[in-house]
Amino acid sequence: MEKAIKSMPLCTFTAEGFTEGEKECTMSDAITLSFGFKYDNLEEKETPGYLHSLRYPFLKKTGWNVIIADGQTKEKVIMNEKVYAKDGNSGKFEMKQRFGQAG
Amino acid sequence: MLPKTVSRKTQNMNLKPLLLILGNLYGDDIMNDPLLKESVDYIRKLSPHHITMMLEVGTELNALARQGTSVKKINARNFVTIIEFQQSWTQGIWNGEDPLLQLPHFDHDVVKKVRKSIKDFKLPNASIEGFCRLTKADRASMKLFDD
Repeated sequence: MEKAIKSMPLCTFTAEGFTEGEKECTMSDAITLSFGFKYDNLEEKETPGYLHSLRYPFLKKTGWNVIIADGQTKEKVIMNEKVYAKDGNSGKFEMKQRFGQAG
Repeated sequence: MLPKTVSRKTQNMNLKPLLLILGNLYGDDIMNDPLLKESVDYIRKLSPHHITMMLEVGTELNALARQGTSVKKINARNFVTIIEFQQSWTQGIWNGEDPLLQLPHFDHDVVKKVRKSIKDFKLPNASIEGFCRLTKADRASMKLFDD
């Protein structure tokens, strides 16, 4: 069991929203949204392997889905993306978008 | 869950894929029977692509609904449902079952012991992650396995 737990995807997640080169965000700014994850039980140069499943006898990479939606209505889905850890124990997803209009 | 009566909608329906999908989700050992294994493996192999396609179609429908050109309303909850289904399907557990069943050698009896221990230890995080983040000594004290 301990060997299995060592290979579990125990991650630390980060989320950040900012406007490049500015301290404050305004409605008309292009906002950068950055999401990151790091596998806590892997070394820096280790990458997660294929998933384990008794009922899936094929190779499949593990990844994380990022869904960006309107927090109030949950109806407006802006982005749905799958992110994988490449060349190391961490992965990052970044998007830059203008969400509002001035006036 | 299977249609009980034959209607115009179901009379030409091939029920085999539906049975195989449900059998896989219930984790039934009959799915390893040579008679069914080939067909269920075919579905398993194609499933990641189909699920990716469902998410892509969902994104498109959501964008169309926002423009007012689609009657179908796809919201964030629908995307979460598809992603959860993907996980359940890959691991062969029914949606809503204890996520600890995804771990190797964890059957319903072991999960029962874990849940009892988590209650006894008064752990704040009773999820699969909370269990994995316990110390090795704490997990050993739960005495989950006989050997």
